[in-house]
Amino acid sequence: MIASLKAEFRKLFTVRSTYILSLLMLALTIFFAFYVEGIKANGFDASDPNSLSRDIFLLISNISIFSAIIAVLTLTHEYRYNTIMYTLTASNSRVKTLVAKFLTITVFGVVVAAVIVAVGLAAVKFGLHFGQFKHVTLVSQTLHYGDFVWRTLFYGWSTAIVGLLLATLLRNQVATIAALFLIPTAEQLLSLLLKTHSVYLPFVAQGAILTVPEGRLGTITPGHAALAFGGYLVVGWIVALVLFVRRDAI
Amino acid sequence: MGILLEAKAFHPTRTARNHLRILAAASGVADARVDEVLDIVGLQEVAKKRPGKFSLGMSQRLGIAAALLGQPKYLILDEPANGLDPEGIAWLRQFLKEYADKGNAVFVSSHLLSEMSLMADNVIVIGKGKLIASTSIGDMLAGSKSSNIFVRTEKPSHFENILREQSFVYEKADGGFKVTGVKTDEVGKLAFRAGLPVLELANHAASLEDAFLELTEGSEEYQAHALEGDKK
Repeated sequence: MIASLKAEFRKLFTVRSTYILSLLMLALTIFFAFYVEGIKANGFDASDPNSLSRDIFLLISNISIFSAIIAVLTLTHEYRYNTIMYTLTASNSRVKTLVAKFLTITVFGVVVAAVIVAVGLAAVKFGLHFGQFKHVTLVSQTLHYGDFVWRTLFYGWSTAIVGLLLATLLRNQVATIAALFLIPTAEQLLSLLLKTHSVYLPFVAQGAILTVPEGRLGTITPGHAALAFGGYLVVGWIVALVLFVRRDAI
Repeated sequence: MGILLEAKAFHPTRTARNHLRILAAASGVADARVDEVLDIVGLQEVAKKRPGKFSLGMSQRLGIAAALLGQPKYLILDEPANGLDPEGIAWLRQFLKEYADKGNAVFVSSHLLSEMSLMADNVIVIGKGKLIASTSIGDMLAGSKSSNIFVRTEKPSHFENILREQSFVYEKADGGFKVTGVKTDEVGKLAFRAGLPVLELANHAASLEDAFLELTEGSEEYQAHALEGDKK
């Protein structure tokens, strides 16, 4: 297991795409947090104690897609370049191999989410200081740390892990990235039919993790949303595990 | 067990060394072994290069390096000579022989029969998924109908009578006879006893390709046909 984990981390950090996408993610975080949500923060309500946390939620919901793409590339590159045969023959257990991949992306997803939050918070505050709110006194911002941390980290982790899940199921780079973008879009269309029940669709539920309880999806709390999305993840990973163990390598 | 199934099985932008480091980590092999195998296959100088730009021969070497990582007792290589230059093929032949001499088993799957005749001690012939032959190279060649003794003597019609009397299997060719199933000594002594001067006596050993084609006759999955012009 340790050997598989070591190999998975090496796979993740020995390809250019990991670094390019991570740098892009960091650059976009700084740009949106500092410039869009800081200096040019037209919609920022100085009297709203939740403004800052809402900005960070918005940031992580848009930026963490990159960690999902990194997760997708990590696995689909193996199928694309046939190195999967080495991966599957090096270990005597495919379950261990998949668990190692899961844990690697878990660590990566959580760390990336933490970095986005930390850098984003600092950049927004910095941006506000230099922008139009320079002379405005903000009301004390409410950050319920426990609540804030689990919601941002769970969202960041779950986005990365859903990328790996789709890659494990589809095993094709283009198809997986397309699915990653098309499924949420399809859910938006389905929402028109399902109305209030649409909050239990996978990606709508995931989005609801970051919406404050009194938001437009007020019928579901962040905890319930996490449970709903977590349920889809559990079922998805059970199917993925069975297929990973039973399917031929190519 | 070390296996090379496909030469180009690597990420094109991950360096050769990192590719092997990943395989080493997954198999619990120390990183120091990575540099050893890179040295063995002669890729030490390009260890930090991206293999996406490697030639087929260099890719083969990287694949062989991957197969050697765990110092396997059994080495299975699929078409390892593909894309190798003459120097590379000579190196591979020498290397595999030395590896086998150390008490390891080396299985090579190949369609390059001339190369196999130089490289292998034993051959296994498989056709349409069935075992056709499993024998040594020497026995396979000796058993081929294409192996024969060519003999040319004075008074060929007289010598033909002698061959017929001795019930030798022969056919006329190039002013002499191709005799099968006998050794040069027997044919030479036969001509000597008949008082016929021998003008030419040569052993024509079958190639591995001849022997292979005889064995697999009717077992080919896809058969090509001669062009119309070539049939005439």
